[in-house]
Amino acid sequence: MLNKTSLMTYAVLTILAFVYLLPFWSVLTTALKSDMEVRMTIPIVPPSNPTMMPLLKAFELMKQGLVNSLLFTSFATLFSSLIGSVNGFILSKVKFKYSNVVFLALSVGIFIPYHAVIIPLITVTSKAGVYNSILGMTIVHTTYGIPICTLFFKNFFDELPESILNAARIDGASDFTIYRRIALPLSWPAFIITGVFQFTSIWNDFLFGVVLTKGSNQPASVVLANLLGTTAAEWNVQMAGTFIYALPVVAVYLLLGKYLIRGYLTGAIKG
Amino acid sequence: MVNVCIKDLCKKFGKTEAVKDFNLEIKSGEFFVLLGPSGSGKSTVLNCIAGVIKPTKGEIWIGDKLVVSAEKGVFIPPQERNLGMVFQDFALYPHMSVFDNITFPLKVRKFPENEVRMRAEQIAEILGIKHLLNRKPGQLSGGEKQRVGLARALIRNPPLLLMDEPLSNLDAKLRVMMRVELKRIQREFKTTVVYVTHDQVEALSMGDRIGIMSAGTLQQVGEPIEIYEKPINTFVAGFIGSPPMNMFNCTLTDLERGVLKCDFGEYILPKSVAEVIFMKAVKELILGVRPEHVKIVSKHMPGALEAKFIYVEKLGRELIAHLKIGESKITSIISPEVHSSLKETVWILFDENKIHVFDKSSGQTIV
Repeated sequence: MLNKTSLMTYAVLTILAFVYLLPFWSVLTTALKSDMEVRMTIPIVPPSNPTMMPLLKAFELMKQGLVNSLLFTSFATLFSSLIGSVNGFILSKVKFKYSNVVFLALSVGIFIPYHAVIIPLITVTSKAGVYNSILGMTIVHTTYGIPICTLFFKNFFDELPESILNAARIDGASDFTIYRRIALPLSWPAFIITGVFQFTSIWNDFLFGVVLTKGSNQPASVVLANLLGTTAAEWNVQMAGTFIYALPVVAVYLLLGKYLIRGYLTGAIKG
Repeated sequence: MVNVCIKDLCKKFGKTEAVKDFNLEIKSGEFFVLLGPSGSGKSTVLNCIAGVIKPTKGEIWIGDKLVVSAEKGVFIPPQERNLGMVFQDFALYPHMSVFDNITFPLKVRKFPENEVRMRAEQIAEILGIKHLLNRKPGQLSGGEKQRVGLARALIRNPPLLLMDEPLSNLDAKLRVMMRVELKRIQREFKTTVVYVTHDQVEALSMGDRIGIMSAGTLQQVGEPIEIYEKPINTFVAGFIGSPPMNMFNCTLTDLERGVLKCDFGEYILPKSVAEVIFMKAVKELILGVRPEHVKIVSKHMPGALEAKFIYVEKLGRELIAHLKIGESKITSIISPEVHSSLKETVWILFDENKIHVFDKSSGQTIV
């Protein structure tokens, strides 16, 4: 039976959940309304006559942006996680002279605000010939993600018992073999955490997208923002766009959520 | 089988000296035990032999191969040292099956598939883990994990096997079983073993020879019986033996007759002992006597000291009596039959041939 305190707790949590979900609900209801109904009703009222038109229209407008975003987000997530994993392994387990200094210098990268590097970034990407391209976005986001990915993986590998590595060394494995056959397969929880984190932050990025790309190379986040300015405010189309834009991140969470929590909790490797 | 020779080994971690001036020759085919309390540097020595730690000074030879020398700048990595190692925490690869774990050393070295399979089955048979080959380490008990660890270390049939507290994570009953098992395996594989432990029972029961370490230095090397009967200093005397040796601070008051003034009263040394001490002319001494050499009698006898029972530990086959003599405490091992015949106040006698006398200032043995 529920006692009084837990009943109160549930009540408060339910109200809070309701408050948090309200905007999302409004997005959904508005996205399913016709132009007329949007103007006549308030957002939280469900549509009387649901229509798919706004969703289809928004998708049509954002198609290219979504493909762009999906491409560079996936690749940048993959590359930054892989590089972070190798870095983390070397900084945690192989070590070399001044490896602590290298790690410290790398960690500083986490705290550099996006805005501080915009102008140099434009110069560098133009000179490298990757300005306004998916490749450019992939490279920039991979690079920007390396410090945080390295940190995640270093923390993870710090928990890996030294004796396992020593055992492997005595068994005849080189550092590369140890990484590939032992560290890499054992680090899947770290890959999930880093992967979800990177996917979300790269997908949600607006600033790099808006300054480094133009026209058909723009990411979904920028295209979404541009939906606003065109003609009169089509709230239903915009909300539909917002809904579509949020889907991949939600999907990633639903798919990997249970591993994510397990990954957060298990610092150590379970035998 | 191969011998190991360690010369002037030193290892510093920052400012702390984990091992200093360590010299040791481990004979070919020997079961050598490095014994010492935690933090005495015994694992550091083992890790230097394995090659997972680089010594600060000194050199190590495995057979006729110089594997490391700080002075000559030689360092052969663990991958090329041709040895096996068993770890306290087993150090199995958690994502691999038992089969993959034990064959890892062969697969890394690119042995042909059929030989890998054959050797795995052979070693699994010897260690009784054939039925576990498809399991993951997470599904094994402590004892099973240790067998897998052992199988992995032995699969290449290395001439040198290092073991770092391999039995510490097992429960008491299993430990006794594995002690016998490890000796059998060592004989079967004819390999030189260097075994690190803090458990003196393991050391005494398994070791062909024992090296006792304290604070980074090797105190004494010898056969178990030699170390037990002739401890070189107070540390070894106190560390080996359970319950530990009784030790008393004494002052020599009468050189000629060998009269000691101890915390508990006067004690007259046997003539042979007194003569040696007379020669050395040391006055401040420590008198040591093992609990099994403390005899309890019910009546006063010449030379006997009066004592009172404080507490008796009943261990079944024997009893450990804790007694008080004067202001000091003393332990004695007695049989249950003797105990039942005694009253609260008793007299104790030391076995004169079995007493130890140490120089108090240096801790070194005199007799």
